[in-house]
Amino acid sequence: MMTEIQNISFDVPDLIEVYGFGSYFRSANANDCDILLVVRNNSSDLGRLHFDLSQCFYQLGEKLSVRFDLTILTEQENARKPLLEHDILVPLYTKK
Amino acid sequence: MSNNNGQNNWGVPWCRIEWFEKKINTHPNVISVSRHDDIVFDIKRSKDQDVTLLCLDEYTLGVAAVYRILSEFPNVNFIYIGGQWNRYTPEAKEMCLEHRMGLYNISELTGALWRNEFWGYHKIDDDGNPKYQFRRS
Repeated sequence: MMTEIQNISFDVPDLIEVYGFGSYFRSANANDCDILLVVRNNSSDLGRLHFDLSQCFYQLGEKLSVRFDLTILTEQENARKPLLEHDILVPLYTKK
Repeated sequence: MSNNNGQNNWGVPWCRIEWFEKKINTHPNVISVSRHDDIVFDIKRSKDQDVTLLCLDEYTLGVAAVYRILSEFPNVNFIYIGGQWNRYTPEAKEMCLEHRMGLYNISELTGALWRNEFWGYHKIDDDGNPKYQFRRS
């Protein structure tokens, strides 16, 4: 799964960080996979970016038989740490 | 005439839609509800202006989602994000206020539907200040 997520990140320039959280990363019997996607503040079309990322992860979910539950935040929003799990996020990808 | 119900590309499961539909039909200020595009509810209220509500299930809704909603559902004026564990960011709330669009979770839904200008509804804290459903870790 890591490779596929990295491939999505390479293909989407405005996606800069990917984290996992929730039961999928703590146990073997999770129903879905919670993913936090952090996107650039100045992305030219945030709505389109949200749609495209949702489609990418839907297709990946179909391929891997995993239901992805996405949270998509801008850098500014993510800086406020609006998730309960912020301190235990699992880094999956960071754009260098 | 097709109402396009049966699937949506926001990942909202049927159990959430069904639960919400039952809930909204019990609100005393609601006189009729019709659903289309699986997750859009046209709500007629007894005294106040009609509402076109998008039923979501979002753990944390941000501005990217609001932009997408404005593009995909230009007639929607009320975003419902689901249960009380679901929240929105301050940026998303500000954007919705600018567009006179409601943005609420279940803890705010009933109160908002009693207001004609539903987008401006908020709870208040002990000091009388607006209390929004933001979350911090």
